[in-house]
Amino acid sequence: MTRLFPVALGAALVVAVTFLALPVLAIFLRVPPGELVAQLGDERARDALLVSLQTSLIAHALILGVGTPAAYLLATTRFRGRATVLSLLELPLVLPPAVAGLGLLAAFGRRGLLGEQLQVVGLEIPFTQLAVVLAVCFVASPFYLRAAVTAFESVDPALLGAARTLGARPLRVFARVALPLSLAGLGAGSTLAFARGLGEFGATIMFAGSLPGRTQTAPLAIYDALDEDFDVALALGALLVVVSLALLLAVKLVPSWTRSPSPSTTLFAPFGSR
Amino acid sequence: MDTLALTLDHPLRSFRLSVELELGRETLALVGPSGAGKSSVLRAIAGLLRPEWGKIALGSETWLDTEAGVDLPPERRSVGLVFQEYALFPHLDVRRNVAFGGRERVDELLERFRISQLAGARPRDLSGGERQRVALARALARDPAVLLLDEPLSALDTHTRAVVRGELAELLAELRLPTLLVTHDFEDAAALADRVGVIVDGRILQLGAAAELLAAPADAFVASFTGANLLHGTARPGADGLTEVVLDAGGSMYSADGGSGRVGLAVYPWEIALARSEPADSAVNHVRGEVRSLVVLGNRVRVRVGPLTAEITAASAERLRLREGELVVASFKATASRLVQVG
Repeated sequence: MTRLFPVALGAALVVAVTFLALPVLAIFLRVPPGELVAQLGDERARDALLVSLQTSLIAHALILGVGTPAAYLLATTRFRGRATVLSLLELPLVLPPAVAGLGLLAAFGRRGLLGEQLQVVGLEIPFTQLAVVLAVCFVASPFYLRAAVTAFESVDPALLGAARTLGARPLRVFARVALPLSLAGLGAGSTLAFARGLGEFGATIMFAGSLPGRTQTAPLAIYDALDEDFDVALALGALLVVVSLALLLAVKLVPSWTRSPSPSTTLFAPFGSR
Repeated sequence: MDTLALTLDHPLRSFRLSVELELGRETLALVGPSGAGKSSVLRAIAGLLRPEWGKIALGSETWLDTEAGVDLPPERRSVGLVFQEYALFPHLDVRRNVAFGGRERVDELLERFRISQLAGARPRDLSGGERQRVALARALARDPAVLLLDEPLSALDTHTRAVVRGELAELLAELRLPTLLVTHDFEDAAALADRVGVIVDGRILQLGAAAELLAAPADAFVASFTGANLLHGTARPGADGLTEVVLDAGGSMYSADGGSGRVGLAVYPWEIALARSEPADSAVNHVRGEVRSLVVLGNRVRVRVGPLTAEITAASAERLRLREGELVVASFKATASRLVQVG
């Protein structure tokens, strides 16, 4: 009887690993690698990859550009309602993607909250590439913000204070002390957000549609190709697996290369210590 | 030259920090238990903490005046602050750490603090003493008008501490900057500072030269904090114009100080003599008891006898062949004891 528990633990692990690895392996086992590469030449696949790359890069630049200073402020100041703001920023993480798409339509759609104002300036967002970018930003940015707040919070406040007393203005303190010391954590969060954005499906299809060559990203193209050409779907799928794997490895390995003092090698680091 | 003048009033966890200080070209030590508000005073001067009410000025230059709405940011106050754990930038080497404060004098400072050979090393590879020198060099790189030291010796081991204390004393004497240092160790304060202020619960109980504090502690806390033995009792006039203190623990002691009612009788360990049997000398106070502990501190030995701690030379301890558990007599003169208020 005493041996039963260890055996049960082992069995549970085997089940979990097999279940999680099998679908990924299946993609590669179904079609030979050479075939997969050839299928990527398909026009539809190429268009979808291009749309994915463009929108992901633009969205990522926005996430980093706005998210980094916002996270720094949140991490280094205490104000009333801070906890609420932090929770609000995490909401998209738990929101069903379909609801996210619905929300984006309700906010930026033609008859949405800002619809009239956007029409005045001649901007129509839904079913454009801009919509894809917004959808990706909405679902992916919380991953970066979370990690960035944690990374900035883990910088010893005495170091920031020391920099100030040594004559550094706030911008220099940020650039010379806070940023370099948070780089590993920021990198991990950034990679995670990029991966999440690349795989975005639900919010995008609702808010931006799936127009080939315009708003059809790789995940949407996979869904589209399922009925017509399963091999194209598999080829795109395989490519996304490879990219995801590379991103995962980057998160795991980069911190040990940079020998940064922030040991943030897990993707789901706890959000601060409150 | 310029004097640093400050008045602060600021609520901390369970008390108000209420401090008024003025310091010229001298070293002033604020000494007190942890949580007394010492570091908050430094942070307020450096501009890292904004007190609820306060005025801080260096000569004619106002750094803070809450009533007038003046509050210079830290980078515009000419201070060099050495943090308790030194707060060296872990991602920068020694040279860059020092240069962060100012580039002009880096080589001179590296040389002066004997860290030139460590210029390319990262802080994590340095010993405690080396880190402290880097922190000092960095704080001085900005050529500050005021130097602030937060527990400058507490991060060091006992051996390094003694060496660094000597070096620091020399440096402070050489710089002659208005220097405020905070520590929880009275000996450090006495060794480094011209004036010592004992601070408890946000208030300065007594401010003066270390010798003054030892000679006339303002109250029981100052007495015990400066290292005195403190015996509680009730004072009444005794024989020969002395004051008799009837101890709570039993027995009587005599002091040349006047006093009545509840008092603390303070006597410093180095005023207490030990003997095998009651000596026929001028001391009127004798305590017979077992040796409870012996602690060797270099060439001195701290001996606990009953309620007292005596400090005698290692040679005397050897001559008396003191061992734990043996009976000895501890004696001190009535003129060596101080009567202090019990707070």
